[in-house]
Amino acid sequence: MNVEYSYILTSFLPEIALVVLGLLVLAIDLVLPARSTRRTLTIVAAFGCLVVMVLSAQQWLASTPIAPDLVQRETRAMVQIWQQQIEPLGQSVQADPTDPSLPRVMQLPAEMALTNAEARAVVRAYQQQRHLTPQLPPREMGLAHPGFAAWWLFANDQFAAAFKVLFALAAFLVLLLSVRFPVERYRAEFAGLLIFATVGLMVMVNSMDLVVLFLGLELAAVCLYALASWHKGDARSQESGVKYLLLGSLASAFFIYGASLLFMQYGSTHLTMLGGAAMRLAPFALIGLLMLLIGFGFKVAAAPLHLWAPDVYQGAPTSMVAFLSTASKAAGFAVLLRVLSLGFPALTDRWVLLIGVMAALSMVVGNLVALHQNNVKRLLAYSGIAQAGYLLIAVMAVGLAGLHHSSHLEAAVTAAVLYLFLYTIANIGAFAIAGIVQQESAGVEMRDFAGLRTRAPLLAFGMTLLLLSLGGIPPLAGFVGKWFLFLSGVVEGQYILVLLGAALSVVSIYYYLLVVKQIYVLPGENTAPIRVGAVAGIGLTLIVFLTFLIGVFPRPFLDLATQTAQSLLHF
Amino acid sequence: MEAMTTQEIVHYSIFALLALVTVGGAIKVAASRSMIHAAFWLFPVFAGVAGFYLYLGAQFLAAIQVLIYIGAILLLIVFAVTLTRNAADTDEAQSNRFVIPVVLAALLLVVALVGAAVITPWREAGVDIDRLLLAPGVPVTDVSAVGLTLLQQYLLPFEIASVLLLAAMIGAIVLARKERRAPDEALPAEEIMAHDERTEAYTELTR
Repeated sequence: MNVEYSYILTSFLPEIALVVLGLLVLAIDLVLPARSTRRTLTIVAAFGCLVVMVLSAQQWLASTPIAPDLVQRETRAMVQIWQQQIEPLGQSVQADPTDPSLPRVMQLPAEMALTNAEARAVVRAYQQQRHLTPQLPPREMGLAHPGFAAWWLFANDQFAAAFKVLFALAAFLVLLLSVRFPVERYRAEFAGLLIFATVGLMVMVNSMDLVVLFLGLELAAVCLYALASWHKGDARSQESGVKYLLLGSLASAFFIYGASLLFMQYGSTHLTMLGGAAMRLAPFALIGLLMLLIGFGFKVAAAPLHLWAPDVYQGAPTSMVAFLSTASKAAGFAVLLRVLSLGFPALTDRWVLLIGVMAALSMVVGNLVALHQNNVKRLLAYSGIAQAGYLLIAVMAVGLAGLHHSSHLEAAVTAAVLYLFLYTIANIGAFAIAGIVQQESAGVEMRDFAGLRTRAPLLAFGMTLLLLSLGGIPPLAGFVGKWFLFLSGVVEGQYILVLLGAALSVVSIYYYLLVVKQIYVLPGENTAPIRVGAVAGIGLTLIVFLTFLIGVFPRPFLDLATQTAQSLLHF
Repeated sequence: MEAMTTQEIVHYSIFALLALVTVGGAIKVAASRSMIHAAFWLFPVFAGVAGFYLYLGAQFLAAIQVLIYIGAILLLIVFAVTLTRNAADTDEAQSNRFVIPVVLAALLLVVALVGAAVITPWREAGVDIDRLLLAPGVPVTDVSAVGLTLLQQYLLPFEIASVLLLAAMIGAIVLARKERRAPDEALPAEEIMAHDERTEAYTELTR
């Protein structure tokens, strides 16, 4: 097979497999008889996501520091053209002074292997040089090859692979749980759109170019807009869908406007190019960056861009909310980390303050407003806003560590990655149980949880564990995650922010315990036992087990997160 | 300052004309009291922007602008206006209680953008407006170049866009499809009867 297409096939295997899976599900739906409920099809789709998770995990654990053959060949050709055609013109090749690897690369003997970082440095320097000296031959080098361009436009690093694993896992769990919920008649389409949304999130975390990032963002968003208003007869679901569509489109518009302002200023939307160009402070760059942050702030539901979250979470189908509040948020944070640390290291002193303000606002608004919620889904929405605030502390710490060239940079990224994983797992479980209770009690108010202890003892135990983990109680995963998040803030000297976070965590335990009190202490009017069902049961057991496992045995997970963080930082 | 050449005069007058059409149309959109007038005033705005693209040598963008903005979006807006309210209604209030904060926010944005445009060292940033507009032999981004870039450099994003369109189509069909009850969730017989009677009564009324 052609070396280019084999490179594309191997590096985008999870995405391609997911697209094929989605198309298969939609096609099988057509040939199934109209009467069948398609529950089995959903389960098959879920296990397809599990296979994709394994494929992504292979990418995660494989280490490929050396650039692919195709890239090596093209990069060397680039250097040759450079040397032959520029030097006779009397111009010395001006390599980027901030890039230590470049002069060595220029002297490379042809047989020497280039690392990914070196190859990217060469391409960036070549393009910058072309920008300044139009005499450089107009051949866009390897970029005309789909394989080479795929390498240049997508990161394909372990950081991306780690999040691909997380999204595939989230899609697997959500599809398993969706079997339990009525998604009305369009089960196959529901599964298909959820799978396409997962592809979109994977493209987001993998992309190195703001335009490709936007495509992934829109792919995920369009699927989620449709899924939010899936319950066609339900006015709340319609409200949720319309609100999400309108505000989401506005956020996307901000994002793409910001990207176009950055393009106007620097002539590129590629993160590597921006990272090199942003050395020069420019007014449009600041406006553009601000607009990008507005887009991301919406995606992760951080205050003051959180207003959509409670309404959307309350009205949308539960399985979709479980995905939206976790995988979509995790994608937003992963992209935020990549864009800020690769694209805008030179503007760190500007964005760090903004992120800090957003962190403080999210923690305060999320935790204090959650105190007054009677609806458990709205409560989880506000708790999700607060969790975004804790995570932003780590993003801020990444910025500060990069600014001071501190050795704690890696620890801050590690903390964020670890927390995103355990938050995603625990929150899917909490939303699933809330959804099951809603279905069995015709409501998801606090009082509907009363007597859950007798109605479904295992469900009650699971919900308690997950809520305590979200609150950060020691033997559970949430404690480990919050510990490292706050630690990353402390080593960068953000004492006020961390104190605020710790104090508000205590507040959050109060409202989580309000739900637990309903479950265990108060007698309920409805005493009909709840049957969870085998499929959803498997999913919930896995979630609770993982939450417990990461809490008591964090070492291997921490090591994995560290490895992931390294691949982002030593890109 | 040296005198302008004929070529420069022609260029600047084309620019001024296009700017007048675009900005003037935009002002009329905001100032029209009738929704349908505002919708039609969008035409010079979109056409003016298409003219700018053509003037800058981006024929492909100009064609896309005409196809999408004039052909699709403008038409959709006109349809939406005529279908949802009395199109001739000119009593629309031009302002509400948010007028002061909105004007302040808009002014802030204008100050930020104009300020940024003034401060920015354009030539150093590598985007030389004068060279772009006036120099002969400016590289023209022709349609074939756009096509090649799309199918070579941006092949993968292109494929992602096709998945995006498929997903949007499926979502739209599911949401817009007329609902019939599934056999496994069938209503009890008497409810179906009642439903049918109501439907018949409604058809009678509307006939």
